[in-house]
Amino acid sequence: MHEVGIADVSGYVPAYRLDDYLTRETASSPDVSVPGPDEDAFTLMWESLTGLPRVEAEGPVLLRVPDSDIETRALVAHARSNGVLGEPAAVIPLAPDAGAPDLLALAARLAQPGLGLLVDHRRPAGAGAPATASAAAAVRFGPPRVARVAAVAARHTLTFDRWRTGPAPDQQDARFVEEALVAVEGDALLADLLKAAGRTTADLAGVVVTCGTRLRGARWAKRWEVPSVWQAGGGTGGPGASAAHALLTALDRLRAAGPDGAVAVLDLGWGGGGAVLTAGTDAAEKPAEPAASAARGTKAYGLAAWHGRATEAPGPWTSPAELWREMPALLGPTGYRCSDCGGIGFPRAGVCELCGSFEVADRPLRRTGVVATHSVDHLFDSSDPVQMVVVDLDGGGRFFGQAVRDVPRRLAVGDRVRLVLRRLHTASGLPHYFWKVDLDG
Amino acid sequence: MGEDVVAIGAASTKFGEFFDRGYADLVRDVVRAVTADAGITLADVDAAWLGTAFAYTYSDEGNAGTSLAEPIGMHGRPVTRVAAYCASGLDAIRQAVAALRAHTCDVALVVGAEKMRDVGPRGSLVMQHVNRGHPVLSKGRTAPGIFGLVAERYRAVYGDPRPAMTAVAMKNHAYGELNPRAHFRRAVSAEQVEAAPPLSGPIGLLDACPTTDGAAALVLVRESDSHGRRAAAISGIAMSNDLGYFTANTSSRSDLLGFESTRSAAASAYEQAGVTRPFDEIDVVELHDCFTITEVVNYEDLGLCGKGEGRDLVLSGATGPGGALPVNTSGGLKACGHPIGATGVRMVVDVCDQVWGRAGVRQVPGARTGLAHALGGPGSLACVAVVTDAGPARAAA
Ligand SMILES: [Zn+2]
Repeated sequence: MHEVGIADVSGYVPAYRLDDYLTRETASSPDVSVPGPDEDAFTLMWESLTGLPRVEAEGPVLLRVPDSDIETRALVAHARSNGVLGEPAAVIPLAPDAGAPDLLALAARLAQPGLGLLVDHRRPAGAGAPATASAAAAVRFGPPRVARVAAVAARHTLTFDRWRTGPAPDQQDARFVEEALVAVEGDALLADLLKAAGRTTADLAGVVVTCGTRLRGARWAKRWEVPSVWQAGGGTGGPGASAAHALLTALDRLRAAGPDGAVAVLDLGWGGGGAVLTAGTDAAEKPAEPAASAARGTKAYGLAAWHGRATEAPGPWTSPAELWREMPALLGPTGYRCSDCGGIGFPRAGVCELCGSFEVADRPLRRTGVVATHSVDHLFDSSDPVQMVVVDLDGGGRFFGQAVRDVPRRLAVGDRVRLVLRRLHTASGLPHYFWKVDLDG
Repeated sequence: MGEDVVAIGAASTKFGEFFDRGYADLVRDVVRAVTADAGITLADVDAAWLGTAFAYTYSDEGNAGTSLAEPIGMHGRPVTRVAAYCASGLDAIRQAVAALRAHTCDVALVVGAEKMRDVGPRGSLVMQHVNRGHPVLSKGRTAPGIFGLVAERYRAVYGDPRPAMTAVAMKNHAYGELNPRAHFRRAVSAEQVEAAPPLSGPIGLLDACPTTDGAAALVLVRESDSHGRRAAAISGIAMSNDLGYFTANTSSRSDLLGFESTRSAAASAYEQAGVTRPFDEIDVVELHDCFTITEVVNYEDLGLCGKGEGRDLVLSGATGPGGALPVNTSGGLKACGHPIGATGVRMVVDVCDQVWGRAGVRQVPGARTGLAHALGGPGSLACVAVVTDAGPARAAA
């Protein structure tokens, strides 16, 4: 294995949290992040990609997007259409139960630095199953500005521990998992990693663990003689279930630890995978920034939103030819600029609506602007009223569409807003994504 | 411009929800009424225009002139269907006026008809708005939503439009209560209007016009062929296309405080009719109050008051009974009802009733000049007509 670095990282954690009732019903942690009704695996992935510097050409894209109803190639095509993803050298889908260490291990063995995408999109499963946190992480491998992958390791052990994806029909005693398997396999994996990295536990700022049960962190910190053990994403769910959270948490703790910091990541189940991350070159120069966008105002995810999603009316019949013709520009978002009057408009058009000139050329539009007007619509077929918003975009062009479903408050004329990609509906078997309007900052 | 074209017959069915009358029944009823009113027979008619906006709401009826020719047995002559959203009826009149001026016909029949109530719940115009259209550009757009955007912009720029919207609803329902042809013949209180279920922004259920069944018709001739009959001249009529359909709300040209289509159509119609001070020169107005906020901004777009003064105009009582310029004495779309293709024709029928002095208890004393205005689509287009008494009194003058 040659040394591989993480050059850039960007994460996204949805703003919804379970309300008290659903937290109780699903025996979930109240801080578990849940996607909004109009967020899906693709929109989470898109949000994480928006924080990375743009490039024209990507290396190999290592992609793990479980529980998505849109194919891997469709995910890539949508991200390409709106410009958050450069043209990939190759797309390498990872298994649904791959964890953060699996991504790092594969990246470390690629000849060309790649892009890693880990997406966890999960809704409250209902029927008493605990909720598992949703998040998305995007990392671009290359010069070790953010972190170095100092070691990776894996064990494959028959433990019959039911650390599987989804609830087992006859759940085993969680104490068996924690006391026996984390101890045996976790100890061994951590020892392998430290040896490979040429480090000792004294060098670690802490260990990030994902596994099939909720851990008592202080107990394991003491056993492993490290300052902290963190469990990303609220525990539970099986191997790889909180991969994005684990990676984001590890990178956040690493930055907090400073220039000499090191953090281990363990993803336990049927043995497990692990990695040691050490501080990147930025650690000495830049103040620590969180890898995931700071949580803004959260919104409770109640039964109404849950039920509303489940019964969402199907969208209109849609011509696939029309999607093929129009969607690349709409997802861009691409408007036009008139070379006669200098006017800028949206959507893309063959004529300038300001002066009537046909001398128009496509032009990418800014995704920020100011609310010109709005209207909260109670007639539109939706579980709760949708706010429709007209936005005068910075640099020209006017946009009209829905506000995001998890906006912390209703938008008002004059608000600074940004456009974000969200799922509108599914029609003719196709997911329809379009821009929605969110408060900026 | 050519010679003035005049209406010599005007008629409308009752507006409402008619499960006992189909589209063809409404068309036949109104044509029999209008030919009787004009004192002619169908054999005298040599061309006809049919305004129907959404033929597919009810059935396939209204999708061509055949839907008018068939129920009245009008054979061997041209019958043309005109579609321009909510301005279909007024634009059908405009086509007939142009043909008469060009001497391509001598006696023109114009019918506006729409059958909207006899449809399944997913087939209503409201649900078509929600479930059809562009897969993403119009997703979430509803009819009240389009005008809710105007109401919220109006609030941000000029102040709360709510009191004025309530005044429009009360005024138009008060007129509708007195109109035997109106869909809703009952007054509403401010409390009822403001407690109604919300639709979009400040627009509530009692700020919205209904969907309606109905038909209206006119018989038009050149003034020289009116032979001293009671007549009303179409002294100005104009149409203007402005905003796109799916892209209406992304147009940077819109100030979101009204509709440029109305402004430019009005300017053209006023110029034809020689109107320079509309508030002073016009006696009665039928305008497009699809939602109460629309009436407020229409005042401004039609030049009946200055920008931002629409609220004060209705609150002053000037556009109500006994006011200086009564507006929507029929009850408007709000209370008279809105069978889309019929509406523009119905407006001119109501203006004819006013200038002919047969508007009953809603009569505006001495009304001689009236205005009709229809706004189509999401503000995409508008049609404006100036109608002036051209009876024997004018001929003698
Ligand atoms: Zn131009």
